[in-house]
Amino acid sequence: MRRLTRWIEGRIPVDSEVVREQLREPLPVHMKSWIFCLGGTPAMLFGILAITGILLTFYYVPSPAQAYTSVSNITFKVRMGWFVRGIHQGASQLMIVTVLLHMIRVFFTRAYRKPRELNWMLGVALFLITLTFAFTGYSLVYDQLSYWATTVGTNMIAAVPLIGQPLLILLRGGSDVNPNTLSRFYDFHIGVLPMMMTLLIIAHLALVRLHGVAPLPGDPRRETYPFFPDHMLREVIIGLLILIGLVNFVMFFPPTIGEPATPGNTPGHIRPEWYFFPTYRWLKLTSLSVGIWGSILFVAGLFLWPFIDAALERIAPRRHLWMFVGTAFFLMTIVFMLWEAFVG
Amino acid sequence: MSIVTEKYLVGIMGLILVGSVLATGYLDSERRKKENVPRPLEAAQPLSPELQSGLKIYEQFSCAACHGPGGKGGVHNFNAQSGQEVPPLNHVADGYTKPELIAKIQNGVPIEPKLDPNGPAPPLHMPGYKDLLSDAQLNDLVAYLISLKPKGEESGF
Repeated sequence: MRRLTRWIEGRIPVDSEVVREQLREPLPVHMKSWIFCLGGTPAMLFGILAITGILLTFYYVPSPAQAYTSVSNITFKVRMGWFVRGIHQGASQLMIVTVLLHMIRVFFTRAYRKPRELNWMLGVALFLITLTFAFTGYSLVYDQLSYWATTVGTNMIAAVPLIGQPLLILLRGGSDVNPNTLSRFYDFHIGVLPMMMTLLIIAHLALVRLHGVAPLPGDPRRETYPFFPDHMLREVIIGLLILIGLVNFVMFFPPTIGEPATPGNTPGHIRPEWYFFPTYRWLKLTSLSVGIWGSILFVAGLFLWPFIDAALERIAPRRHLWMFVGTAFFLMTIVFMLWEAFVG
Repeated sequence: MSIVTEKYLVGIMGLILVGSVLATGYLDSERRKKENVPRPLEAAQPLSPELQSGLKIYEQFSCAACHGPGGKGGVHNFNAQSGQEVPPLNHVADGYTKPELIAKIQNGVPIEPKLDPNGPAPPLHMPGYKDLLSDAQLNDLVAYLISLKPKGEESGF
């Protein structure tokens, strides 16, 4: 082993002690709490999604004539195909949940404040990419629901001011959903988005390392503990727990597929996946232009939140306005989601 | 929780995960057995009337002369882009839909693409059968071609 280490050190002139030192980065002791370990989970899920996604591309055919058949083939005929598809589907849902939990934790511990504003913005970008991943991936199934969700979802893009129409053409490859749309969504799903996400994850992690972990407001403790192996072990435990849950869930509830997409035949009840419920409910409650402008302002507000919070702090110090705004939006999102889920 | 306990926990959870994945594999093989997925080298089933008609057309129009008996290929076609051979037909089910196959048979391939653009034209090309086959015959032939995919061919990860 020592000979191998010497051999590698001879070829890659990096002092292994420096690498070890980096791995042993001291973390504040509040990070021992499980809720603070959720940042690594989406990254791990992204790895699982990449592996299962590559396996799915072995059998998936991104053409309108064969997409549905190929997904059906993966689900019902290919050995362990149902398992790979189920893990991919489940991991994508969990990724959205864990990204949201991580964002909520960062928000309510105000870890986005100076000098970490840029990293919050990178995090919001990663969240939006995660949602785009889910949207494009859902469209690839090409059953009735996914086809019509794509049609309705892309129709909304057209209503975005200024860039809506060109963006719609770029996504659909024409003014209507057509054979180009599926191949474009496939390109985005397996090429553009993974590349963007990988680069942003690297930048996000690099900034976390450069700034160090944000201190917990009101926590006087000054003790630290090493990233490796202590913190890493907790991340691994969470990862394993999720994987065990996911594998067993897929075993008992294998994925299935709806009716094949029929472009001329709109189903009676079109509904997006659960993570778009709040937006969908909001759009139902308002006119299209108010709905779109509201959504744009919400995303812009989310991006610029560290600066808005700083401004609120200057206007009304110690009034905890950030907490009121955050709680209000959080509750509104939950209410909209449940409303759409149970009332429809 | 101490670091030693966490290490044990990782070990135990790792074992549970491996066990779960193995159980999934077992479940998959049991399900496949129940659904009676045909295995390779199973005895050939007698052809349905539609497929018998398709086979007859395949032989009558000398498709086998270029595409080989049973669509297995193996006929040389110098400087053809398709690996200097006439393409075999026993896997068309993977690459073509029924309407695409019908169109291909009707229109043929008037100019066979060259492997070396500066080389001679390949001696064999696919003629069009538009006026030679009725719709019913085309349907039977396509059904036969699709049926040529080896039965029980296993696909998995």
